[in-house]
Amino acid sequence: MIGLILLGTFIAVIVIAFVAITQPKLPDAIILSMGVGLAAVVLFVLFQAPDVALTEAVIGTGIGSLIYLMALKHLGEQK
Amino acid sequence: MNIKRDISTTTLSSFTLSAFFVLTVLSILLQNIPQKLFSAGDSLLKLNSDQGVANAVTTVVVYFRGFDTLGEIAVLFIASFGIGLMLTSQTHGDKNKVKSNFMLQLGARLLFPIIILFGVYVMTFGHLSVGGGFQGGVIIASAVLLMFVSSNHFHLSHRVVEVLETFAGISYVMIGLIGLIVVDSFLGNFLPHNISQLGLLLSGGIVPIIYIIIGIKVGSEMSLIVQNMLQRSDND
Amino acid sequence: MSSIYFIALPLLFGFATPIFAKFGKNGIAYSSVLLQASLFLLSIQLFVTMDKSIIEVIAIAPPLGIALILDNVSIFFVMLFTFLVLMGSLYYLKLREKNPYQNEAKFFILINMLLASAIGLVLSSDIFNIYVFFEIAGISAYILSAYRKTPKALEAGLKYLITGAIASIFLVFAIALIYLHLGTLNLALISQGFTALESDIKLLISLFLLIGFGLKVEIFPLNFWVTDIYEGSDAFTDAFFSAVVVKAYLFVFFHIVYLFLPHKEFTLFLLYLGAVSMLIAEIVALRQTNLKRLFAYSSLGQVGLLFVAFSMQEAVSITAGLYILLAHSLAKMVIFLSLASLFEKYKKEDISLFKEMNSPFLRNIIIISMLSLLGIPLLAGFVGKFLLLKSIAFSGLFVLLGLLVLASLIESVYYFKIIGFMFSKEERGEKFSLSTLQRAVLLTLTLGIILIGIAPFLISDFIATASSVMIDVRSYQNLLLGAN
Repeated sequence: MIGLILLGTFIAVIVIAFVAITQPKLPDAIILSMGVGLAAVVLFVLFQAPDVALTEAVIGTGIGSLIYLMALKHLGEQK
Repeated sequence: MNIKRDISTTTLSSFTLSAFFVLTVLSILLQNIPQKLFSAGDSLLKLNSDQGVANAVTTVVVYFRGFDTLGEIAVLFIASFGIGLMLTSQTHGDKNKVKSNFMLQLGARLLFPIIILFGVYVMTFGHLSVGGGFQGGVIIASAVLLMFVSSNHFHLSHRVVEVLETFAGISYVMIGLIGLIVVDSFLGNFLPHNISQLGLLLSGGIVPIIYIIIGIKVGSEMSLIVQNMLQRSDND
Repeated sequence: MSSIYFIALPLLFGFATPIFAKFGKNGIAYSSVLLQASLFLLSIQLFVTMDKSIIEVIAIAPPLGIALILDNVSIFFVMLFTFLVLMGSLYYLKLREKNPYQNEAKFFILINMLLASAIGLVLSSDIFNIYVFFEIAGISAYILSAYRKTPKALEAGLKYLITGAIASIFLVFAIALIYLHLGTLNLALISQGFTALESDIKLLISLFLLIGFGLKVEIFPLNFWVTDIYEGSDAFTDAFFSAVVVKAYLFVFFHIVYLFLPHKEFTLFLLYLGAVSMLIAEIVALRQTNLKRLFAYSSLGQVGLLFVAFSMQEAVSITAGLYILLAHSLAKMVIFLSLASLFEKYKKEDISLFKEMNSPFLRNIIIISMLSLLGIPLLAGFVGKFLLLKSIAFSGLFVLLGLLVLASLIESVYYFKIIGFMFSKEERGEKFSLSTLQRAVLLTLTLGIILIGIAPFLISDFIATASSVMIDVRSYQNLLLGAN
């Protein structure tokens, strides 16, 4: 069972990451990269690294992406 | 798609070159995966019980590699400082702000104390369970961010953040220096850390204290970054 | 006495800035100068009382924990860095009064962070700890180069950020590979286990290390970006980049090379890389008209020379390298600090500035520094260059000797062009004189150049011991591993 979840998550990470980098619109790419982060959280939990998972959830998925979005907003304003 | 027309020769050749390098590196790496994976982690874990800290990861981060952590705090400090320096002089403020809807405001206000509480919990129980100062600090910063997003009137008092940040930074280095004087090692554990207290809130000597300090520092730095990027530093 | 103070105190100062800012307008500036002066005195005191290498354990004993090692060669760098940073800060006290965009004391925080990280790089004996200081130095340097916030400065900062990020990636990848294969981050343990690794992996790690540090030490194929950054940043900042930061990276890189890879081919490669780097930099420098770019290229040339000196892997050539390094740091500090004042006065950065300038004092000290860089006898640069050329000649590497002499000849062409401009009989404006403090700083540095040139025997024992310590891998391992 765990193996299946693991496999599914791996495939999900790769697919989401691929879609994210081929996305022409930057906001979409950022949201998708949050998806990659979430899948990575699952992976970290499955690999029994809860500390890393918590960090990834909070920094990688949460505040990191939000800072990207804010930077994007800045760029938009200066144009 | 006509490759020759759409992609310039330079791009194509540099891509080929880099792909070649990546393949070479990968082939070397895959051939040479060591049979027995070494790890300093095991030997570090063996030493963990000396410190009386339930979460071994915390011991490694805060105590064994505490000097690196101090360096990372410094990196965060300079980064936040640099963002403040680069962004604050631009003066475009609250124009074309959309008033956020009532539900968002209410929800954010309800969630704010809960998120802060969770952040404080993660921070203070870093030596007992999953998490710690870095994560807790960022959780607190994300609560602040939520308030910024939902309300147009929310703003952090610059003075309070500054006091917190300064206090945390100074006390981290001071604890290190006290360790140098008392137990003859920078960042040494000079408070009682007995294995019999394992699992209690007050255990592990300086480890939980430093992790809380890290949490305060990270929380205030990240909140400052958020505030600077949202251009609402209080000018009064 | 402990070596940790050199890192902890500047960090503490940085964190505590708001408190110092309370002491009036100049609070940060004066307390920063005070701190640097006391660190310099501390380093002198440590040097005088030190009879053997000092190992400073942090938290747990070395193979697992982090330790700082203060031996004869690192005390040399600590003294040099604290001295140069102190001199620069003193100069800046007066410089910033006339310079409205810089009249913020925040500059001092960044300079102190730079000092802490440069010393940390030199002292640390743990490769991941080195990476942390690498990052601190990098980030403070990015902000310093973008500090003016003019479009050029911002471009320089961004460029520095991107190249710095690339360098960090390569360094981190090298560290990851080392950890994967050896299971340790301790320099001594890595150096013991490194020779037993498979040659593919060894090559890969050395290449990653070369790219990671090569970007930072500005060696030939990886230095295309350096001059843009020197041009975009303030001349005052360039003084620190050229005299302190690059030197710290250079020392760490060669320290790691000596510890890990005593491989003949690799060091031979570095040797010729240095020579080619020097030759190309000097040739390109000929055509430059912007002074910051010109002296940036001259710095690149000197880095090439240092690469040659350190890659020879003999005590004599390392001694020569340390002399060259010392002379170059002093001379570049003088040149960039005087340029900072001159740019401000004449509002131009072109080489024709020297036709307009009317300041015999600045003219003379710039000429002395340039002649020292060139290696004219009785100045500091001569000692190192002479020793280096002698040791190359003894090793029978005559192609290399030819390349270096050729590069020095090219170097002399543009230096003498500048000297010619200085003595041209053109209409000059009113006399420009510096404040007493600034003159004192420049005079101290120039006297240092002259003193080392006239009486190299004053420091020759110390430098010779330092170079023999630097190359002595065995005693470094014993020191680091014997402590537990």
